[in-house]
Amino acid sequence: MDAALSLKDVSKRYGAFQAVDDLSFDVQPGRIFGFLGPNGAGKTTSIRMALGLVEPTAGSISILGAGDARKVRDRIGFLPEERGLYRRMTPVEAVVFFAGLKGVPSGVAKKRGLAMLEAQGLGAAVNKPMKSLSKGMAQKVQLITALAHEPDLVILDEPFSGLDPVNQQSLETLIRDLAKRGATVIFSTHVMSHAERLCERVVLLAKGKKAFDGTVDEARSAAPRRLILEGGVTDEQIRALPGVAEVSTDETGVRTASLKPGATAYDTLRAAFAQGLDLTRFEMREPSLHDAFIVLTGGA
Amino acid sequence: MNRLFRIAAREYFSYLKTPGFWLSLLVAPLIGAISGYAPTMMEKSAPVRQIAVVDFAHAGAAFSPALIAGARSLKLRIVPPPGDIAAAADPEAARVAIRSYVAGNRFMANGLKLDAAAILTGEPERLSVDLWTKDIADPGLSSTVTQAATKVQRAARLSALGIDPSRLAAVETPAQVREFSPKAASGGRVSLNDRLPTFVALALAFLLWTLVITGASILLTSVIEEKSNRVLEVLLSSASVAEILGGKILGVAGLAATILLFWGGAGAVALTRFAPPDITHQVLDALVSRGLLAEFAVYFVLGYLMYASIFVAIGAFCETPREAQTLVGPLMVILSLPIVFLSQAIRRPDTPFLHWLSWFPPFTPFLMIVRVTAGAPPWEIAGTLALMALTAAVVVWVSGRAFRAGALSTAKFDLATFFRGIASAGR
Repeated sequence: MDAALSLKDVSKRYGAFQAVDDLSFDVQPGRIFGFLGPNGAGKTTSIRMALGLVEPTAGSISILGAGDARKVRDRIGFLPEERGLYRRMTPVEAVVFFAGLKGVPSGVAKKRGLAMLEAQGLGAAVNKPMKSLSKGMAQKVQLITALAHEPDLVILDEPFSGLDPVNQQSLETLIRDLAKRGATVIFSTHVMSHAERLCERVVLLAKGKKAFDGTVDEARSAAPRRLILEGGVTDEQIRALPGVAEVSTDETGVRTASLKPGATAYDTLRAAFAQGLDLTRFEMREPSLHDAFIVLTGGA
Repeated sequence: MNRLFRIAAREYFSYLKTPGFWLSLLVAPLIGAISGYAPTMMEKSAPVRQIAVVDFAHAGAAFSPALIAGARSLKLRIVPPPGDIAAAADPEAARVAIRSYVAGNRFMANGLKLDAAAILTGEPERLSVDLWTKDIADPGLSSTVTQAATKVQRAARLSALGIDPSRLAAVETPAQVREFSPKAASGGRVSLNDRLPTFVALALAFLLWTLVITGASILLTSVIEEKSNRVLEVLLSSASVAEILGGKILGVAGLAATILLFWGGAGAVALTRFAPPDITHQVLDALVSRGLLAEFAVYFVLGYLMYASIFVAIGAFCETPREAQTLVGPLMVILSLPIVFLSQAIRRPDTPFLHWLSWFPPFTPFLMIVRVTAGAPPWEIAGTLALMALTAAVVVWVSGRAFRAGALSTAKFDLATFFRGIASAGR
């Protein structure tokens, strides 16, 4: 099956600044794909190139089978990082207008828009001007304008920023529903917990370069496993255990042992007990995507 | 195409709904009506000015009727000087007495104020008038008094030369001059019918200038609003630059057309109601039969396209009107220049300087619409139109690139950013 989005050796340079450097990755259709990286990593520039808003300096892009996103723009839904709508428009007018630009007849767009606004708890605000809505409500309206034409590919640039935890949860549900419907969802974020819960595959960008491309589990494995230890032991005793790469102690005296790649917590703990170390508590902690992010981006 | 019309419709209706649009629609006819009627209304409502004539030159008997005859629209009443002024022994004493009356410190016997006083000294053949008035900024009374005194003095001098002053009117009757021109419709005698198209063209040039400025300014505001509201990026992901630019320009052109229809309707009503039927007929003839409306349409389309595109491109780089001001300010000065030369274009359409200015595309629409009626040669009309069309096409193309670069730019606006954006768009 053709990739929904494919970037091959794509670079973008603004004068002396290299925004994106030799980036390649594929997004398979019907999947939720995370485009991760710290601020300024080149995520937005890459998304803009994918959408045809910015021409790459080098490389090629294929989106929904087309070499130019502008040819398939009606099949794409896009939520930009910097959000905004016409302040005097009502939510339903905004949905009708933007869905109309994607080829949806006004009557259909209005019906669909009203249903989606209602589903997102905005039923009472459908005829209020945008300028009177709260930031969170306006963000939801904008998301609906990006989805009302039922796109095959949805690209969301930092969709969770500015949303409260309840709305973040509701957005996660919406993204899962889109994927269930068969749409491909690509979203960028620098908050790893969302990607961890939603994505099957992620690309991690750091300083314009691809730092990682794979599944979430593969990403996690890039970070060391950790063993939390409490009791009457010293750093030296822990460091001498098999598989331990590094030890750190927090202000409460809890020690964290980072394990070497391939090492297991079982072997380390067994050696500790065999040596009769005074351990009152131990806990094995699997690395999170956040840990992987720190390792893979080098703390960028 | 569907997207272009949707964007145009949004642009059109979003402004149509604002109170500001309706205010601007009504303001021009209102100002026209007020400026047409205001002087007459002000004169009608102004109180009658009381003027006293203090005669030390024995010319008052001739001066007073001449003053009233020359007053025309000035509302003047000659009143007898108050007793103390009339009793003044010499002009200096009269001046001292008059000062307190004109200053409003004293009143005449009937309780009214004395607005002005003319002290006549010398003799009828060498008349000197000191005019005292409370209306220091109004030259009308001074001019009327000067004319009346000159008339009296002229009559006295003619009498001294033994010429009957009553025959003066016959002597001063202007000679009959008839004007002919091969360009006249009759082929000879020049009539109002021949001049009217030029005046109509002048009015159309002003209207064209107003509409172009209004339209371009609306577009500038609209794009700045979209840029600051972060709508442009979504628009760019939904439609091509050509569709966005085209839609916005078309939508605002629709607004300009609405304004034009409203103002044209108001003008037509005023013309049919207040102007003589033959003038109405001649204006319609100039507009339709002589092709002024068609010329207006062509010059509006090209001129508006040129200026609208430039303003849209500037707007795409700016998030506030203040940012836009750095480039729009000088542009507005350039845009105002043709207005300065319009009157010259009527009086001396063959001035070489005007020929050169007409070939400068930003000035072409405003100057040529007047020069065409004044008889500009066809090759010049075709040439300036072609150059303007070419310039409009280049401006639209460059503006498209600038719009694309500016819409996604977050850099602070300056000229270097603007031109760098144009150069790098698409790369």
